[in-house]
Amino acid sequence: MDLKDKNLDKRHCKELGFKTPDDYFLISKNEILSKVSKTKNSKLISFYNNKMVWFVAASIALVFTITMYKQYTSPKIFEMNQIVSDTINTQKNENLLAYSFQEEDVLIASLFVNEANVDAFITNEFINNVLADEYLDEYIIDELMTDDIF
Amino acid sequence: MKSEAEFISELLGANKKDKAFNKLLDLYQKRLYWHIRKLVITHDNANDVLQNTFIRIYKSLPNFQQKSSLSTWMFRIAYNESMRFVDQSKAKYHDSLDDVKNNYSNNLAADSYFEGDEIQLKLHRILADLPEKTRQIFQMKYYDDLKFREIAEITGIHEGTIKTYYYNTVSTIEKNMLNIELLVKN
Repeated sequence: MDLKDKNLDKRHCKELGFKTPDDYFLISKNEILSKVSKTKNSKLISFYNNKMVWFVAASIALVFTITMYKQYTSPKIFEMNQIVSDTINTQKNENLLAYSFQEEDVLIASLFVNEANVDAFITNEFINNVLADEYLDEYIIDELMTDDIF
Repeated sequence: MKSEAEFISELLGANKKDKAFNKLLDLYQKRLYWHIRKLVITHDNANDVLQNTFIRIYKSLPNFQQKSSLSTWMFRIAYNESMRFVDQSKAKYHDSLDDVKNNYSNNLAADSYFEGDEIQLKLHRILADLPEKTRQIFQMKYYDDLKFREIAEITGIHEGTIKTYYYNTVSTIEKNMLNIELLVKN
Protein backbone atom coordinates (compact mmCIF):
# COMPACT_ATOMS: atom_id res chain seq x y z
CA MET A 1 0.00 0.00 0.00
CA ASP A 2 1.56 3.30 -1.02
CA LEU A 3 1.36 6.59 0.85
CA LYS A 4 -1.25 8.05 -1.48
CA ASP A 5 -3.61 5.10 -0.85
CA LYS A 6 -3.09 5.39 2.93
CA ASN A 7 -4.00 9.08 2.83
CA LEU A 8 -7.01 8.27 0.67
CA ASP A 9 -8.30 5.70 3.20
CA LYS A 10 -7.58 7.99 6.15
CA ARG A 11 -9.34 10.95 4.57
CA HIS A 12 -12.50 9.04 3.65
CA CYS A 13 -12.69 7.24 7.00
CA LYS A 14 -11.84 10.17 9.26
CA GLU A 15 -13.54 13.02 7.46
CA LEU A 16 -16.53 11.25 5.94
CA GLY A 17 -17.00 8.32 8.34
CA PHE A 18 -16.99 5.74 5.52
CA LYS A 19 -15.78 2.23 6.37
CA THR A 20 -15.18 -0.94 4.40
CA PRO A 21 -15.36 -4.62 5.48
CA ASP A 22 -12.11 -6.30 6.58
CA ASP A 23 -9.87 -7.32 3.65
CA TYR A 24 -12.46 -5.81 1.33
CA PHE A 25 -10.01 -4.66 -1.35
CA LEU A 26 -8.27 -8.05 -1.52
CA ILE A 27 -11.59 -9.93 -1.79
CA SER A 28 -12.94 -7.42 -4.30
CA LYS A 29 -9.80 -7.70 -6.45
CA ASN A 30 -10.16 -11.50 -6.63
CA GLU A 31 -13.86 -11.18 -7.53
CA ILE A 32 -13.08 -8.72 -10.30
CA LEU A 33 -10.30 -10.94 -11.70
CA SER A 34 -12.62 -13.94 -11.59
CA LYS A 35 -15.38 -12.05 -13.45
CA VAL A 36 -12.91 -10.72 -16.00
CA SER A 37 -11.60 -14.26 -16.52
CA LYS A 38 -15.16 -15.51 -17.18
CA THR A 39 -15.69 -12.67 -19.67
CA LYS A 40 -12.43 -13.62 -21.38
CA ASN A 41 -13.31 -17.33 -21.59
CA SER A 42 -16.78 -16.65 -22.93
CA LYS A 43 -15.12 -14.44 -25.52
CA LEU A 44 -12.78 -17.27 -26.58
CA ILE A 45 -15.60 -19.74 -27.22
CA SER A 46 -17.89 -17.14 -28.66
CA PHE A 47 -19.29 -18.73 -31.81
CA TYR A 48 -20.93 -15.68 -33.22
CA ASN A 49 -17.90 -13.39 -33.18
CA ASN A 50 -15.86 -15.66 -35.45
CA LYS A 51 -16.05 -14.29 -39.00
CA MET A 52 -14.77 -17.56 -40.47
CA VAL A 53 -17.62 -19.49 -38.85
CA TRP A 54 -20.12 -16.99 -40.23
CA PHE A 55 -18.62 -17.35 -43.70
CA VAL A 56 -18.76 -21.17 -43.60
CA ALA A 57 -22.34 -21.14 -42.24
CA ALA A 58 -23.43 -18.70 -44.96
CA SER A 59 -21.80 -20.86 -47.66
CA ILE A 60 -23.54 -24.03 -46.42
CA ALA A 61 -26.87 -22.19 -46.29
CA LEU A 62 -26.34 -20.92 -49.86
CA VAL A 63 -25.47 -24.38 -51.26
CA PHE A 64 -28.45 -25.90 -49.43
CA THR A 65 -30.82 -23.23 -50.75
CA ILE A 66 -29.62 -23.64 -54.35
CA THR A 67 -29.92 -27.45 -54.12
CA MET A 68 -33.44 -27.26 -52.75
CA TYR A 69 -34.44 -24.63 -55.30
CA LYS A 70 -33.12 -26.72 -58.19
CA GLN A 71 -34.85 -29.84 -56.88
CA TYR A 72 -38.29 -28.34 -56.42
CA THR A 73 -38.33 -25.70 -59.10
CA SER A 74 -41.07 -26.18 -61.73
CA PRO A 75 -39.94 -26.99 -65.27
CA LYS A 76 -40.90 -24.56 -68.01
CA ILE A 77 -43.76 -25.52 -70.35
CA PHE A 78 -41.37 -25.99 -73.30
CA GLU A 79 -39.44 -28.56 -71.21
CA MET A 80 -42.54 -30.73 -70.77
CA ASN A 81 -42.23 -32.79 -73.96
CA GLN A 82 -38.62 -33.48 -73.22
CA ILE A 83 -39.39 -34.56 -69.65
CA VAL A 84 -42.18 -36.91 -70.73
CA SER A 85 -40.14 -38.45 -73.52
CA ASP A 86 -37.11 -38.81 -71.24
CA THR A 87 -39.27 -40.60 -68.70
CA ILE A 88 -40.65 -42.95 -71.35
CA ASN A 89 -37.17 -43.62 -72.73
CA THR A 90 -35.88 -44.40 -69.28
CA GLN A 91 -38.69 -46.83 -68.76
CA LYS A 92 -38.08 -48.42 -72.16
CA ASN A 93 -34.39 -48.80 -71.47
CA GLU A 94 -35.13 -50.48 -68.22
CA ASN A 95 -37.75 -52.73 -69.87
CA LEU A 96 -40.44 -51.14 -67.79
CA LEU A 97 -42.34 -50.22 -70.92
CA ALA A 98 -42.66 -53.29 -73.06
CA TYR A 99 -44.83 -52.12 -75.87
CA SER A 100 -45.83 -48.60 -76.53
CA PHE A 101 -46.76 -45.27 -75.03
CA GLN A 102 -49.48 -45.65 -72.45
CA GLU A 103 -51.64 -43.24 -70.44
CA GLU A 104 -49.84 -44.22 -67.23
CA ASP A 105 -46.65 -42.78 -68.62
CA VAL A 106 -48.10 -39.31 -68.45
CA LEU A 107 -49.15 -40.02 -64.87
CA ILE A 108 -45.67 -41.30 -64.02
CA ALA A 109 -44.13 -38.25 -65.62
CA SER A 110 -46.53 -36.04 -63.69
CA LEU A 111 -44.93 -37.22 -60.47
CA PHE A 112 -41.80 -35.31 -61.47
CA VAL A 113 -43.37 -32.06 -62.55
CA ASN A 114 -45.65 -29.34 -61.34
CA GLU A 115 -49.38 -30.13 -61.50
CA ALA A 116 -50.26 -27.00 -63.44
CA ASN A 117 -47.66 -27.86 -66.06
CA VAL A 118 -49.05 -31.41 -66.37
CA ASP A 119 -52.53 -29.99 -66.92
CA ALA A 120 -51.19 -27.65 -69.55
CA PHE A 121 -49.38 -30.52 -71.25
CA ILE A 122 -52.47 -32.78 -71.24
CA THR A 123 -54.65 -29.98 -72.63
CA ASN A 124 -52.10 -29.34 -75.32
CA GLU A 125 -51.90 -33.06 -76.20
CA PHE A 126 -55.68 -33.27 -76.26
CA ILE A 127 -56.00 -30.35 -78.69
CA ASN A 128 -53.14 -31.56 -80.92
CA ASN A 129 -53.98 -35.24 -81.10
CA VAL A 130 -57.52 -36.15 -79.97
CA LEU A 131 -59.31 -33.10 -81.36
CA ALA A 132 -57.26 -33.19 -84.54
CA ASP A 133 -58.08 -36.90 -85.04
CA GLU A 134 -61.73 -36.22 -84.33
CA TYR A 135 -61.74 -33.39 -86.85
CA LEU A 136 -60.05 -35.65 -89.42
CA ASP A 137 -62.63 -38.42 -88.88
CA GLU A 138 -65.50 -36.00 -89.35
CA TYR A 139 -63.89 -34.64 -92.54
CA ILE A 140 -63.48 -38.16 -94.01
CA ILE A 141 -67.08 -39.11 -93.16
CA ASP A 142 -68.31 -35.88 -94.70
CA GLU A 143 -66.27 -36.56 -97.84
CA LEU A 144 -67.52 -40.16 -98.09
CA MET A 145 -71.10 -39.10 -97.56
CA THR A 146 -70.71 -36.50 -100.23
CA ASP A 147 -69.21 -39.03 -102.63
CA ASP A 148 -72.02 -41.47 -101.91
CA ILE A 149 -74.72 -38.87 -102.58
CA PHE A 150 -73.22 -37.53 -105.73
CA MET B 1 9.74 2.25 -13.42
CA LYS B 2 7.70 1.79 -16.59
CA SER B 3 6.31 4.78 -18.43
CA GLU B 4 2.54 5.07 -18.93
CA ALA B 5 3.00 4.41 -22.66
CA GLU B 6 4.79 1.11 -21.95
CA PHE B 7 2.16 0.12 -19.41
CA ILE B 8 -0.66 0.89 -21.85
CA SER B 9 1.02 -1.12 -24.62
CA GLU B 10 1.21 -4.08 -22.19
CA LEU B 11 -2.51 -3.66 -21.39
CA LEU B 12 -3.39 -3.55 -25.06
CA GLY B 13 -1.08 -6.39 -26.10
CA ALA B 14 -1.93 -10.08 -25.79
CA ASN B 15 1.17 -11.41 -24.00
CA LYS B 16 1.27 -9.40 -20.77
CA LYS B 17 -2.33 -8.21 -20.66
CA ASP B 18 -3.39 -10.23 -17.61
CA LYS B 19 -0.35 -9.24 -15.59
CA ALA B 20 -0.79 -5.60 -16.59
CA PHE B 21 -4.49 -5.67 -15.67
CA ASN B 22 -3.59 -7.10 -12.27
CA LYS B 23 -1.22 -4.18 -11.81
CA LEU B 24 -3.94 -1.78 -12.98
CA LEU B 25 -6.20 -3.08 -10.18
CA ASP B 26 -3.45 -2.55 -7.61
CA LEU B 27 -2.96 1.02 -8.80
CA TYR B 28 -6.55 2.16 -9.22
CA GLN B 29 -8.90 -0.10 -7.26
CA LYS B 30 -8.93 2.06 -4.12
CA ARG B 31 -9.00 5.40 -5.92
CA LEU B 32 -11.95 4.32 -8.04
CA TYR B 33 -13.74 2.71 -5.09
CA TRP B 34 -13.65 5.92 -3.04
CA HIS B 35 -14.65 7.99 -6.08
CA ILE B 36 -17.67 5.72 -6.65
CA ARG B 37 -18.53 5.45 -2.95
CA LYS B 38 -19.08 9.21 -2.68
CA LEU B 39 -21.36 9.15 -5.69
CA VAL B 40 -23.52 6.15 -4.72
CA ILE B 41 -23.01 6.51 -0.91
CA THR B 42 -23.45 2.94 0.38
CA HIS B 43 -20.69 0.34 0.42
CA ASP B 44 -22.81 -2.40 -1.21
CA ASN B 45 -23.74 -0.18 -4.13
CA ALA B 46 -20.15 1.03 -4.48
CA ASN B 47 -18.95 -2.58 -4.58
CA ASP B 48 -21.37 -3.46 -7.40
CA VAL B 49 -20.50 -0.36 -9.41
CA LEU B 50 -16.75 -0.90 -8.88
CA GLN B 51 -16.95 -4.44 -10.28
CA ASN B 52 -18.98 -3.28 -13.28
CA THR B 53 -16.48 -0.47 -13.82
CA PHE B 54 -13.45 -2.77 -13.97
CA ILE B 55 -15.24 -5.25 -16.25
CA ARG B 56 -16.15 -2.37 -18.56
CA ILE B 57 -12.57 -1.10 -18.43
CA TYR B 58 -11.28 -4.56 -19.39
CA LYS B 59 -13.73 -4.87 -22.28
CA SER B 60 -13.11 -1.30 -23.48
CA LEU B 61 -9.30 -1.43 -23.38
CA PRO B 62 -9.01 -2.26 -27.11
CA ASN B 63 -11.00 0.94 -27.81
CA PHE B 64 -8.83 3.18 -25.60
CA GLN B 65 -7.59 5.84 -28.02
CA GLN B 66 -5.19 7.55 -25.56
CA LYS B 67 -6.76 10.97 -26.13
CA SER B 68 -6.70 11.42 -22.35
CA SER B 69 -4.51 9.85 -19.68
CA LEU B 70 -5.29 6.28 -18.62
CA SER B 71 -6.26 7.55 -15.16
CA THR B 72 -8.75 10.13 -16.52
CA TRP B 73 -10.21 7.57 -18.92
CA MET B 74 -10.80 5.12 -16.04
CA PHE B 75 -12.30 7.80 -13.81
CA ARG B 76 -14.65 8.74 -16.64
CA ILE B 77 -15.83 5.13 -16.94
CA ALA B 78 -16.30 4.93 -13.15
CA TYR B 79 -18.20 8.24 -13.13
CA ASN B 80 -20.48 7.14 -15.99
CA GLU B 81 -21.16 3.76 -14.34
CA SER B 82 -22.03 5.53 -11.07
CA MET B 83 -24.32 8.00 -12.82
CA ARG B 84 -26.04 5.14 -14.65
CA PHE B 85 -26.63 3.44 -11.30
CA VAL B 86 -27.93 6.67 -9.69
CA ASP B 87 -30.26 7.34 -12.64
CA GLN B 88 -31.62 3.78 -12.51
CA SER B 89 -32.28 4.16 -8.78
CA LYS B 90 -34.09 7.47 -9.39
CA ALA B 91 -36.21 5.92 -12.14
CA LYS B 92 -36.94 2.87 -10.02
CA TYR B 93 -38.27 4.85 -7.10
CA HIS B 94 -39.70 7.78 -9.17
CA ASP B 95 -37.84 10.25 -7.00
CA SER B 96 -38.77 13.91 -6.98
CA LEU B 97 -36.00 16.49 -6.50
CA ASP B 98 -36.70 16.64 -2.76
CA ASP B 99 -36.53 12.86 -2.58
CA VAL B 100 -33.14 12.93 -4.30
CA LYS B 101 -31.86 15.29 -1.60
CA ASN B 102 -33.30 13.08 1.11
CA ASN B 103 -31.86 10.00 -0.57
CA TYR B 104 -28.33 11.06 0.28
CA SER B 105 -29.16 11.11 4.01
CA ASN B 106 -31.34 7.99 3.80
CA ASN B 107 -28.60 6.04 2.03
CA LEU B 108 -26.11 7.08 4.70
CA ALA B 109 -28.46 5.99 7.46
CA ALA B 110 -29.04 2.64 5.73
CA ASP B 111 -25.36 1.95 5.15
CA SER B 112 -23.96 -0.45 7.74
CA TYR B 113 -20.44 0.70 6.79
CA PHE B 114 -20.98 4.31 7.79
CA GLU B 115 -19.86 5.26 11.27
CA GLY B 116 -20.02 9.01 11.35
CA ASP B 117 -19.69 11.14 14.47
CA GLU B 118 -21.56 14.40 14.97
CA ILE B 119 -19.22 16.57 12.87
CA GLN B 120 -19.10 14.03 10.03
CA LEU B 121 -22.90 13.85 9.99
CA LYS B 122 -23.09 17.66 9.82
CA LEU B 123 -20.62 17.68 6.91
CA HIS B 124 -22.74 15.13 5.09
CA ARG B 125 -25.84 17.24 5.67
CA ILE B 126 -24.09 20.23 4.12
CA LEU B 127 -23.03 18.10 1.16
CA ALA B 128 -26.56 16.70 0.78
CA ASP B 129 -27.93 20.26 0.53
CA LEU B 130 -25.62 21.10 -2.38
CA PRO B 131 -26.82 20.67 -5.98
CA GLU B 132 -25.72 17.25 -7.27
CA LYS B 133 -23.16 18.48 -9.84
CA THR B 134 -21.66 21.01 -7.43
CA ARG B 135 -21.25 18.33 -4.78
CA GLN B 136 -19.62 15.96 -7.28
CA ILE B 137 -17.15 18.62 -8.42
CA PHE B 138 -16.20 19.48 -4.83
CA GLN B 139 -15.69 15.82 -3.95
CA MET B 140 -13.61 15.09 -7.04
CA LYS B 141 -11.33 18.02 -6.34
CA TYR B 142 -11.10 17.84 -2.57
CA TYR B 143 -11.23 14.08 -1.86
CA ASP B 144 -10.15 12.44 -5.13
CA ASP B 145 -7.39 15.00 -5.65
CA LEU B 146 -8.18 15.38 -9.36
CA LYS B 147 -7.07 18.40 -11.39
CA PHE B 148 -9.67 20.85 -12.73
CA ARG B 149 -8.78 19.79 -16.29
CA GLU B 150 -9.33 16.13 -15.39
CA ILE B 151 -12.71 16.88 -13.74
CA ALA B 152 -13.73 18.76 -16.90
CA GLU B 153 -12.84 15.72 -19.03
CA ILE B 154 -14.67 13.32 -16.71
CA THR B 155 -17.88 15.30 -16.28
CA GLY B 156 -17.97 17.08 -19.63
CA ILE B 157 -18.41 20.46 -17.87
CA HIS B 158 -16.27 23.46 -18.91
CA GLU B 159 -13.13 23.89 -16.79
CA GLY B 160 -13.92 27.54 -15.97
CA THR B 161 -17.39 26.60 -14.71
CA ILE B 162 -15.88 23.86 -12.56
CA LYS B 163 -13.47 26.30 -10.91
CA THR B 164 -16.32 28.71 -10.13
CA TYR B 165 -18.47 25.90 -8.67
CA TYR B 166 -15.57 24.58 -6.59
CA TYR B 167 -14.49 27.85 -4.99
CA ASN B 168 -18.09 28.83 -4.21
CA THR B 169 -18.66 25.41 -2.61
CA VAL B 170 -15.49 25.61 -0.51
CA SER B 171 -16.61 29.00 0.77
CA THR B 172 -20.11 27.66 1.61
CA ILE B 173 -18.74 24.60 3.40
CA GLU B 174 -16.19 26.62 5.38
CA LYS B 175 -18.89 28.98 6.64
CA ASN B 176 -21.18 26.12 7.58
CA MET B 177 -18.44 24.09 9.21
CA LEU B 178 -17.36 27.10 11.25
CA ASN B 179 -20.91 27.41 12.52
CA ILE B 180 -20.97 23.69 13.30
CA GLU B 181 -17.65 23.84 15.19
CA LEU B 182 -18.94 26.79 17.21
CA LEU B 183 -22.14 24.88 17.94
CA VAL B 184 -20.22 21.77 18.99
CA LYS B 185 -17.88 23.78 21.24
CA ASN B 186 -20.81 25.56 22.92
